Amino acid sequence: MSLIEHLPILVVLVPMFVAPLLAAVPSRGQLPWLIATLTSLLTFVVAIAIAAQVLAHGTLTYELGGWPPPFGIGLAVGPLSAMMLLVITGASLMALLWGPASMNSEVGHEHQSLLYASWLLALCGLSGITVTGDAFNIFVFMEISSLASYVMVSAGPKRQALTATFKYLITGTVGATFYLIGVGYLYMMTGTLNLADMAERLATVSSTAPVLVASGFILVGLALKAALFPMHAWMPNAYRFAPTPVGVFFAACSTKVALFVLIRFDFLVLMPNLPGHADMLVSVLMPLSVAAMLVGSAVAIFERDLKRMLGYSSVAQIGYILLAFSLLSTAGLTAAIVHLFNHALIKGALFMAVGTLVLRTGSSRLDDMAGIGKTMPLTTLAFCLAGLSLIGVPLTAGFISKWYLIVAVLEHGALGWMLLAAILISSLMAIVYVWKVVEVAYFRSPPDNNTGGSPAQRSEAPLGMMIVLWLVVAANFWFGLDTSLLLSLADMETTLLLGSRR
Amino acid sequence: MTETTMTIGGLWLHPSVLLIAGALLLPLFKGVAQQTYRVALAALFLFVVFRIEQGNHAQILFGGLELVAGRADKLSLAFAYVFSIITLIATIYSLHVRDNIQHVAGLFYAAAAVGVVFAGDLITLYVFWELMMLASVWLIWRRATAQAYAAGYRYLMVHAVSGVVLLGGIVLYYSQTGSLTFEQIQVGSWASYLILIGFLVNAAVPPLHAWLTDAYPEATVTGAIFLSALTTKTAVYTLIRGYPGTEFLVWLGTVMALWGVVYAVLANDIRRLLGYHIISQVGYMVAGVGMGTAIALNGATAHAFTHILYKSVLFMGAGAVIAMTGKSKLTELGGIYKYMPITFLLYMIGAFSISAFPLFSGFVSKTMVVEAAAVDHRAWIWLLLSMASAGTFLHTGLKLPYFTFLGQDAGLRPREAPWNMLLAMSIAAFFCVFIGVNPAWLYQFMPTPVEYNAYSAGHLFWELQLLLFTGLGFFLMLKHLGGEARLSVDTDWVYRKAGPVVIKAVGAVVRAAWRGFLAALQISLISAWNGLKRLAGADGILGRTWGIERTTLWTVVLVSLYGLVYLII
Amino acid sequence: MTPPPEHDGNPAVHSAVKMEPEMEVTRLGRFLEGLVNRSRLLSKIMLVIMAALVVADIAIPTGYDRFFWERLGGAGALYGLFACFVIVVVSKFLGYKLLYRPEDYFDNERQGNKLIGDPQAREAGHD
Repeated sequence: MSLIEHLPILVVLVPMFVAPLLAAVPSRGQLPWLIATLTSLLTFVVAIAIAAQVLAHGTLTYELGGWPPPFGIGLAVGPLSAMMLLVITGASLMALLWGPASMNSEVGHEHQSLLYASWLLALCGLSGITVTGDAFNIFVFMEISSLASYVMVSAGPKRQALTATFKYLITGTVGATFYLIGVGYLYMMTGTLNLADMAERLATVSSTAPVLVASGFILVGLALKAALFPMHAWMPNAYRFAPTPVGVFFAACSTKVALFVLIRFDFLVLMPNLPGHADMLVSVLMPLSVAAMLVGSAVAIFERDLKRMLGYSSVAQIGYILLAFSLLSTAGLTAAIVHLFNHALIKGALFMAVGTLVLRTGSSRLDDMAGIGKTMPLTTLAFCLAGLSLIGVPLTAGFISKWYLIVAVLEHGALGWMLLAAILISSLMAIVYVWKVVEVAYFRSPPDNNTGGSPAQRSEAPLGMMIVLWLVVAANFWFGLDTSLLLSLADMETTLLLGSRR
Repeated sequence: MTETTMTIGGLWLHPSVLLIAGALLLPLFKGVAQQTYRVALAALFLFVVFRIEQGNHAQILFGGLELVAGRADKLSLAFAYVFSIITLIATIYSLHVRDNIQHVAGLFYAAAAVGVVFAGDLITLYVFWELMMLASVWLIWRRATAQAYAAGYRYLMVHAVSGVVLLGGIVLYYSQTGSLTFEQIQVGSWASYLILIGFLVNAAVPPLHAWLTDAYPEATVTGAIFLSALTTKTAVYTLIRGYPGTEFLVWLGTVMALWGVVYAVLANDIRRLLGYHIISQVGYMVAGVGMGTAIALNGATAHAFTHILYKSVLFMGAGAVIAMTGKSKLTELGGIYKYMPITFLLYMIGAFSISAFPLFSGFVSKTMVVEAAAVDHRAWIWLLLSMASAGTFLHTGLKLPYFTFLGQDAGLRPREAPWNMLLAMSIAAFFCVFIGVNPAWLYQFMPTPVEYNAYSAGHLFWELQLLLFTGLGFFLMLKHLGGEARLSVDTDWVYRKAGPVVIKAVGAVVRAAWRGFLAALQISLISAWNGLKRLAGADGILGRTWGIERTTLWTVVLVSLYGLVYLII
Repeated sequence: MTPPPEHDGNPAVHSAVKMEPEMEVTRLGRFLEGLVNRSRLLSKIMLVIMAALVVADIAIPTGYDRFFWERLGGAGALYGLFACFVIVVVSKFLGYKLLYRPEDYFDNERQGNKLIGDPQAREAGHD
């Protein structure tokens, strides 16, 4: 077997094996960061190679130890998995490249090697979820990533980080447990944990009641992990109190992984075998996602802390993705996949911009950003441009998402028009909360003797940060123009998931 | 000579691209170097255009659309030739002017016109069409007077609207036929009429013509040469290409020819008078397009060719007078022929050409259009076009020169125009005589082989008598023909006078209603905002930080709800 | 004040008025002056030529007969006079009854504009 065939397992194994080594590295200087970054770079390269393979040959499968599924554990990397891998490893790499200055200012050097080790474990867990084709494996990787996440959030500079972590831990555990319960029921009914095999065997089970219960637990558990309204409470504070680079990493990809599992599980296993499941999704998931869109945006308008504002904005954006998913059409699935990717770009850029501001002002409160447009013009401009992408202005990645979402929604007649109205209202609210920042940053005069540091400190951030930040902002515009990669992956995935049902 | 296509590295060198690139470099030069560069660039452009071989060049696949940027056949080449000649002439005429913006705009404008002519598809055509508008308006604005600014703005507005109409037509046409190729367009669909309107506005066909006589008299002296040559004639080209044989164009063109004549009687500004005669002359071309026979289309093409050259002489002559005296009205001019004799004589060559005197260029082209009417036995058209011809001589050949150069001495003592102006006029005047004497040179460029003989006894007798006795009539009525210190309103009255009044009236109503609406909206918005804030603000139920218990509760609720929904379904 | 960019950069525009009344007239100018002074003679010659032209048209058939007047000698002359008369009368009629306006008719448009500044001031600098 050549190296190419081992790619799917490499992306998991590399960070998994480096993590304990990193924990043993003396926690001084930039060495832990360097190791983590190099490892992340390596996984990113592997992810690119995987994406290229998938684009060329379709779904990659891998049998651990050579045991064929359902007896052994099988990995299956489809187009959507490849895309998620790109998002996860890319977000990790960008956050690491951007982050050392921010990290040094928030976390003491003595904790850094452990923190970066956790980072790699989280990376390993998130990647593992996307590559595996096994329901229980998903749980394991989910736990790996979650536990690592708790550690990282708790390393935040403020004392509230601990309460935020506690909340995160409890709700995260509830979510994971629900998922495990659901998987347990399914295992009980089918005797298998391999997703593809499970789908086949479910068709022949005698009673659907346990399957029904299982699907309820799985959906709610994953929705909790994905921070779907009204189970979103853990997220904004986790984002706010985590060390900023960690926030960037999570904002870009962590909730999306839960959504990914939700989409895969649902389309592969539940949908074909559960009568009435589609109606259920429409009547439960769709109202919740619309509510998420509206409530998330509304709260973001009034939120006075930038990181929490972005968190609530994410609640709304997750609403978009789930709304697209709940349409259960090819167009809807395409829109969901497209937005999974684009939202990572948008939120990553926004969080990075905010993090850069925080590095200089020492606070993420909106009121401390008065006049920041003059002292940090480039960073503020980057925030505004990423904000445009969030709103969905043409030429940006956000526009592509909105476009596909609206196209998908309008396939549904009168209901579609109502959903369109909700989308537009939510977008208008996005304009309001982005504008709120613009107003404070540009039109409010800076305080005379501010508490956020001397005037010398209030200047543009280090060059390295700016380069990464602008790279991500540029990506927002790049993917607003060139949609070929994203669309071909989305197209492959939709034919894979929906093609057989047509 | 070996066969040389103008290609560079396998790519066809589009003359417009060459000219635009060259124009962009122009500001790098100063003084004599810039003058040399401008002449060299225009000459190179001329050379490149004359070396273009027939065929479809520069075929580009752009986003699934097949574009042809270089469709060169006899028709497009004929227009490209004369455009490139006039670019060189206008460059020489403006050689003494130090204004980079104007020069760059002029060259862009010429490049765009040539681009339109070579466009084999409607998208390319549209792009160059709009570029033409954007470039040409600067030739008006750079006069830097309040009138020029306002007129240029109106010019821009009219063309922007017509551009939108054209674009709408193109989009509709594409959606109906699935083709973007610019060939003859079947008249009848909405799309065809929208495109036609777009073309007719640029051809200055009444009642859509007022932009021309509004803007051209306000243009810079040198910019007016480009303006008089390019916009209307590219439109004539598109009409010949797209709408040959569209019957109502015959009458439209005839009305146009007479409309221009009537208004020229009333005009006092010499360049406005000449502007009305552009409209009149383009009327012949439009009528020729409407007839659609081979001789008529050849006539329209030939007339466009000669028209550009003689009209440029006339505009250059008038421009020289304006530049040297600072006056532009018949009532303020007079008796300057002694001081500007060369300008006067060159102007008269242009005047004889436009009047279609034998041995001058207008004769060999204008009579071809009239002859086309005769071949089709269109008696009324023939008579009315002849009448317009008489009117043309009456004003451009007699009234304007008489009251500008001869007539009562207005006390002006100008100098002769500078050498470069005279040189440019001489070149154009040379072509007027050369074509008149040697029509075969012109006819070789026509789209179809020309079997027409202008110099038949019948044409000579008719035309000479018509013109000379018109002259007799002029001197008999001389007292009534001088300029009057007034202006005459044209269809631009609609948007210059009536429009503002209506808009003001409507605006007052709308503003009042809007204010009321805003006040009502404000109240409801404020209360909605406050309501939202109560909900989602920091203390609101949604905005507050939720504890774990609430999340857990919701989780339970949702799982139960899930089962409940299933029970119901 | 710097002059506006256009005005074709020629000083003659501004200096024309200040020139000596007897501006230098070139030889060509004097030749034309001579012709103008003999305009009565020239117009008589012209009338003779025109008469000869009409006679020739009556005498020599043109060979066209698409319209009846093409066979009539001198039709062009008549039509030329007629056309001239009609155009002038109709145009002047339209002008006096409908179209003529005072020269300041459109002066409502000559308001100040942000882009070009105050036109009055600009024109004051212009003259």
